[in-house]
Amino acid sequence: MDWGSLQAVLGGVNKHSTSIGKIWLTVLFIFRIMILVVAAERVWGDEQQDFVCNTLQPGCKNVCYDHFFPISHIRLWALQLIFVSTPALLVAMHVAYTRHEKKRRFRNGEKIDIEELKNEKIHIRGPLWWTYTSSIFFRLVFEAVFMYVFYYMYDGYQMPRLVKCNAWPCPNTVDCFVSRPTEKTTFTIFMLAVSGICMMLNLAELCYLVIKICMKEPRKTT
Amino acid sequence: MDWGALHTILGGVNKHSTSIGKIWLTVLFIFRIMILVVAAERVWGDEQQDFVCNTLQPGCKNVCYDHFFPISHIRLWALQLIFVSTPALLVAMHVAYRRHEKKRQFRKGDQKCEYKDIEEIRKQRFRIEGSLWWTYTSSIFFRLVFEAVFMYAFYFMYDGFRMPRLMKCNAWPCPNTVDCFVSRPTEKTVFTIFMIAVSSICILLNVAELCYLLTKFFLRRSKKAGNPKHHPNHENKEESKQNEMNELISDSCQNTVIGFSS
Repeated sequence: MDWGSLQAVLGGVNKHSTSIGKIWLTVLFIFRIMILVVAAERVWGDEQQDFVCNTLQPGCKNVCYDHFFPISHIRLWALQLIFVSTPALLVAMHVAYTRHEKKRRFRNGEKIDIEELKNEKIHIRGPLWWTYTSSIFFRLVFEAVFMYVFYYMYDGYQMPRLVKCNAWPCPNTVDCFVSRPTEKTTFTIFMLAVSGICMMLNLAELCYLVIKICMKEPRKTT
Repeated sequence: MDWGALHTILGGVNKHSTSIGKIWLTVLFIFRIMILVVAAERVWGDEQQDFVCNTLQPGCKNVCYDHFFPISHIRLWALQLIFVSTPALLVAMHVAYRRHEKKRQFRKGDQKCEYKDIEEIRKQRFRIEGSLWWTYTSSIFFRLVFEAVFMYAFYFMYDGFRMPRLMKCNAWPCPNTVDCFVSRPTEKTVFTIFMIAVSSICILLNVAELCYLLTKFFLRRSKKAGNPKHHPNHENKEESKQNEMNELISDSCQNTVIGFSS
C-alpha cells in the first residue's frame, strides 16, 4: 500500500467530483505527492546522518537531533497528505452505498438498467451533497491543523543552519549544524504554498456548492 | 506517484497533440526524465557525503555545502520537469470537458451532434481548433516560460553551467578560508551541459510548434476571408452555403461548451 494505491483509490472518487474537486486532486497528486516522492524525500534522506555537532561526547548528537526534530518534516507531510485525502473516501462510500441500494431495488423487480447503473454519474444532490460538503470541510480542517502544527513545532517555516543545544549529556552548550538548510527551507515554503493553494481550492468548492444549493431553493419555492 | 504515473497521465495528452508535440513529449520522457532517473541521480547521489573540506572543524562542511549548493541540481531538474509537463494537463482537462459535454448532448438525444454511439465520442480525436487552439497555444507558451525561468535560475544560482573542482569557503564556523572539494565535478559538468542542451532542443521544438499553430490559424482565417472572392459562380456559392451550415452545426456543439464556461 503506497502512494500509487492511494492514487488508484482516489481516482475513482474523481468521477463524482466537481471541476474544482478534479483540479484539487490533480494539484494534490502532481505538486504535493509527486514532489514529496521524487524530490523532498532525497533532501531529507540524510538529515540525521549529516546532522553534525561540535562535540566528541557520545549521545549528544542523538539527543540534540531528537530535541530539535521531534517529527521530521517528511513524516508530517506524509501524514498531512493521507489525512487530507481520506475525506474523499466518505464520498466514495456514499456513492457505493447509493449504487448498492439501486441494485437491490433492481433485484426486487424495479425497472432499472444495470449497465447504466454501473456507469451512471451520480449528481451531487440531497444526502450526497451533505457528505461531499462535510468531506471538503474536514479537508480544510486537516490542512489548517497540520499547517499550524508545522508552525508551532518548528517556530516558523525556516530551517536554521545552526542550532544551539544544551540537553544532557552535551557538555554546556554545543553548536549543531543542520544538513542542507537552504534546500529544506525552499521545499518547506513550496509545500506550504501548494497547501495554501489547495485550501483556496477547497474554499472555492465549498462556496460553489453552497451557492448551487441556495440557487436551487428559490426555484423550488417559485 | 512517481515519474511512471506522470508518464501515464501525459500519455493521454499525446493523442491530441500535433506531430511536433508528440516529438517533444518523447524527448521529454526519454532524454530528460529517463536520463535523470537512471543516470543523473546516481551521479549526484553522494554529493554531500563526498563533499570534503580541508578542516577538522565540525559543522564547517555542512555550512560550506549549504552555501555553495542552496538547491541541488537534481531537485531543480525534477521541479523543472514537473512544471514543464503540467501545462499539457490544461489541454487534457479541456478535451475531457468537451467529451463530457458531447456525451451529455448525446444522452439528451440532440440530433445536431452527429455521433452514433458513446464509444465514438470516447475514441474521437479532437482537432486543434476554436477554444482548444487557445488552450493548446497557452500551454506551449507556459512551457516556454517555465523552461526559460529554470534555465536562468540554474545560470544565476551556479554562476554558469560548469561544476568547479575546488571551492574556497570562509563561512562561520570554518576557521579563516577552507578548501572544499566537490565530488565528481567533471561527470556533473557533462550531465549539466547535456540537460541544458536537451532543454534547449525542447525550447526550439516548442517555438516551432507555436509558429506552426499560428501559421495554421492565419492560413485558416485567410481561406475563410478569401473563399467568397475567388469563387463567385453559382455552384460554389451553394457549396460555400453548405460549408457555412456545417460550420454552424459544429459550432453549435462548441458554443454550448463555450456558453457554459462563460
